[in-house]
Amino acid sequence: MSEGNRKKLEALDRLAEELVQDILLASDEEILFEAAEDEPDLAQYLADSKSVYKLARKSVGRQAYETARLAVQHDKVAASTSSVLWLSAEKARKLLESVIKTNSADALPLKLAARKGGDLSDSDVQSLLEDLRELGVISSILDQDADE
Amino acid sequence: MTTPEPASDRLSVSEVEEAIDALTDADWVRLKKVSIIYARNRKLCPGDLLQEAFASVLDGSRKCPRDVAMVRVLGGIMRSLRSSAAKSEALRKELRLVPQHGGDGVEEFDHPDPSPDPEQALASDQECEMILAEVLALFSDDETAQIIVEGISDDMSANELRELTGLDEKEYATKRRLIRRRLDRSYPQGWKK
Repeated sequence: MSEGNRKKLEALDRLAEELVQDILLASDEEILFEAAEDEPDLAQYLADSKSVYKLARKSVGRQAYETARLAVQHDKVAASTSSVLWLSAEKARKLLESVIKTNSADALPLKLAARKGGDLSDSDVQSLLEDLRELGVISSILDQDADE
Repeated sequence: MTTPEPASDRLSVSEVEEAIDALTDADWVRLKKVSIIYARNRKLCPGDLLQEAFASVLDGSRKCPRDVAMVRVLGGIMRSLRSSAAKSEALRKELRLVPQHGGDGVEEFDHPDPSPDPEQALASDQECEMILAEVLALFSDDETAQIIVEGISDDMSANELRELTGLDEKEYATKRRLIRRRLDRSYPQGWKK
């Protein structure tokens, strides 16, 4: 924008400010009198103004719903795309055995039953691997696995 | 015994809703008028501007000071939105200056650009100049009003203008009201005739 245009626009903005101040300083009676003078249907004029507020409420409500929906969707996607859940039951069990073998007992927060592996159901294995992944114990193993 | 928590100096969202519900008919008229004025100098739709102001207090993105009337808060937000309108595509609207008297001998400008950049979203050089000239011409029968309009445009203060025109505070306020009313009637929907 040219300097000249900016100044002209600022001049119009200053005029706008004065007009707004005048509106805010006018009494309720004056404002309603003016509106009655200018608007053939004052009730409709007021209804139009208020409908804008209703639209805003709807739009904010819709936005809040959309945000919540996306958050739920995000959680579901995160759960379904867990690296561990992509593994087959057999591969998952092998991975758990491998993790147990290559890490000391102190390094793994696993109970004895878990350390034996064989007593666990497939879903227990998946769940344990997911916990270990969240703890950062098996991320590198999974990466290596993916590379293979 | 616990001391009650001091009330925040900002309204909560539910308090904002209560304050809006308590707006008077005159306040609703004020808000509509203010939205039209702030939308005039940019390519904005007054209704969208007002809706955006409402939405921003309802979703909490704009805070409402407890000690300021809601109509002033919303007016201030519309002012701020107008200033940042160039950043918001959603608020933009085509602005077309149409001939004042049926098109005879009045220059028309070529608008709109289908993909306006932020600067193009503001009135063009020619438009601004023509609008200012038209506004001044509206008061060709009232030299004092013309001086005030020109003075406001030139960033003169109310005190300076009162001194220049010899008006006291009340007379100045009356003249300013006359200016607004004439502009209201001449430009009920922005800078369109």
